[in-house]
Amino acid sequence: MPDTLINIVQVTKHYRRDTIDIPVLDNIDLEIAQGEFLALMGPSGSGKTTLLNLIAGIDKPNSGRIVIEGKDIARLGEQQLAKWRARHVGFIFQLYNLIPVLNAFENVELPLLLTNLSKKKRRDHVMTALSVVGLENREHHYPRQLSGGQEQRVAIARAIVTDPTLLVADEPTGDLDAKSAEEILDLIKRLNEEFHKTIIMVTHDPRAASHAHAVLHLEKGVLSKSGGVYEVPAAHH
Amino acid sequence: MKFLRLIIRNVGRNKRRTLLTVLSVSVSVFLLATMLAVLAAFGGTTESSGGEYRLVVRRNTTLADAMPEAYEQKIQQVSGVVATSPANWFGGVYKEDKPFYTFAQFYVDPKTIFDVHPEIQISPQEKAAFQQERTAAIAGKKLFDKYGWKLGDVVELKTPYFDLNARLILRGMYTGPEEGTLFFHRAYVEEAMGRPGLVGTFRVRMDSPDSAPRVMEEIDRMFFNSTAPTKTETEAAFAASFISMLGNVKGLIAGVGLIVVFTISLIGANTMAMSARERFTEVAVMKALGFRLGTVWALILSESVLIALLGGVVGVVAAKVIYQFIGLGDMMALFLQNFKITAGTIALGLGVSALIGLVSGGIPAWTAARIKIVDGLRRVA
Repeated sequence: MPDTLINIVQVTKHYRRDTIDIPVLDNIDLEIAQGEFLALMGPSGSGKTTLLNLIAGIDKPNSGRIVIEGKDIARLGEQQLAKWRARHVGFIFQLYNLIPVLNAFENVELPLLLTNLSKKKRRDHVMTALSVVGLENREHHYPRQLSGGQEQRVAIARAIVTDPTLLVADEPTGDLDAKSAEEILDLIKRLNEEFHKTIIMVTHDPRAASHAHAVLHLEKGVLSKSGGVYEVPAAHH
Repeated sequence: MKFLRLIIRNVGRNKRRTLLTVLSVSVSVFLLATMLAVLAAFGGTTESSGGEYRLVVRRNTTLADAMPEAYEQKIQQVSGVVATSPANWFGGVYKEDKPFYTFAQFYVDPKTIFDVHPEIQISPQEKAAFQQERTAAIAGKKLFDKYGWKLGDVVELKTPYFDLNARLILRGMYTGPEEGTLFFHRAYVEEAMGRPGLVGTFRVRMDSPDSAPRVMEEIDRMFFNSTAPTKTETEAAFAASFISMLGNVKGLIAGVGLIVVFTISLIGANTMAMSARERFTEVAVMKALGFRLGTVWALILSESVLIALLGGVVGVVAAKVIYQFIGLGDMMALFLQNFKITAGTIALGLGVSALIGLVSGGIPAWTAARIKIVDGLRRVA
């Protein structure tokens, strides 16, 4: 049995709009193992992105604990959380969110600017990440000069360049054509299988979810099965 | 330094907007440099040429009105006065009525002028030649260099103010803190005009700068009930009143300078706010990647400072080029002998532009840096 990487205990989250309280997540309990590839599914407004954001440390729960590698990130301050994210989390967004004024190399290098690595070491890391995603010959290309699939691959290189423990992907294929989407999903799967990254992916697409080891359904802020018991896709039976 | 590339790229993100902002800052810094140079010239007149020992007596109405030359003897009797000399503005046109050919001309007493202006350095031979010949003139080295004059050259000055075309022979070249004036004989003009005996200003040299308040008061009191009351002031104050004939010129200039800086800061703040607003998602992404609030704030603020500094550099370089190399400074030097864009003015101009960047970028950068990551990503699941 693999070690538990993430332990979510009694997490609730609600937003306040004017005087109205909007519940988003209700008493979530979940355990995610090291090296897991988990897909989060559910209708719009079900709270899947909110749960992803909480796990990634870019949002905070109203109550409960989110323990990752033994550290309750719900109790960390903003500065500590920023430092923690830089070290432990890689982000993959639906719209890639590359910086348009930086080329592929510079975009991938961005997280490394927060480290003490030398320029040469940074270059080595960036080129390694770009080669993993198959874009080592596109380092000087700007986002506008790349296809959607290539942009997403640059974004994945940016996510893995710091060698984080956890990759979070929010609809990573939502803006791509079927062929590019399949390539991106294969790449994400490879990161899980070859590089042993723990991956949590939010998706609407059952085909995308089928690449995951397990699928977790959220409905109105509640896990369809409590206690982090996943539905395993047919492909993995 | 590793963030410099990111800052520079962001500055060049919207080239047209950056260019317009740089231009607006550069215009304001150019104006500011001009004002600073004027202010410095006010102070410089007294410090560099012994002006703190000098007073200027003129009519209390306008500079166009004159005083009887008999006033000079009475002024000399005031305790603390060591020398006096009459000096009238001539205002002749040399060759063409264009800025390039415009310079200060005064008709003076060729003997006493050196008593009140000991900073004028001239060889004894040239001084004697000037004093002995009624049509002789002396001019500063700067004018000799500018117009290619040589000793013995004839300088013709046409004046639009009275019926006289002065034809003067250059007999001397002086050096000193101010080298942009031509002096010639008072007697030359007096004779041509039928000896009206009128004096535009009396230059007064005192025994000590400390005597100034008392001497000024005594001179003005002496002529208070005459038909031509006087206004006596320090040389620096005279320069100020001469240029604008307004009261508090320094205050006015400083006020306008502050308004310019304030206005440009507002424009800059608006530009930076627009620029920051457009990048909320990027800021959110950077924060998600681990960039801290302070780092993001510093990065955006650096863009603002860089843009403002670019404008500052353009502004001070333009001021230097326009005033020093194109020659508009010579026109300013008519009124302010020490008008120039100094290293201090450049440093202050750049400092102010950096301040504009800090002031205009501070709040927009803070607003952007404080954005919540989830809000910046604008994602609702």
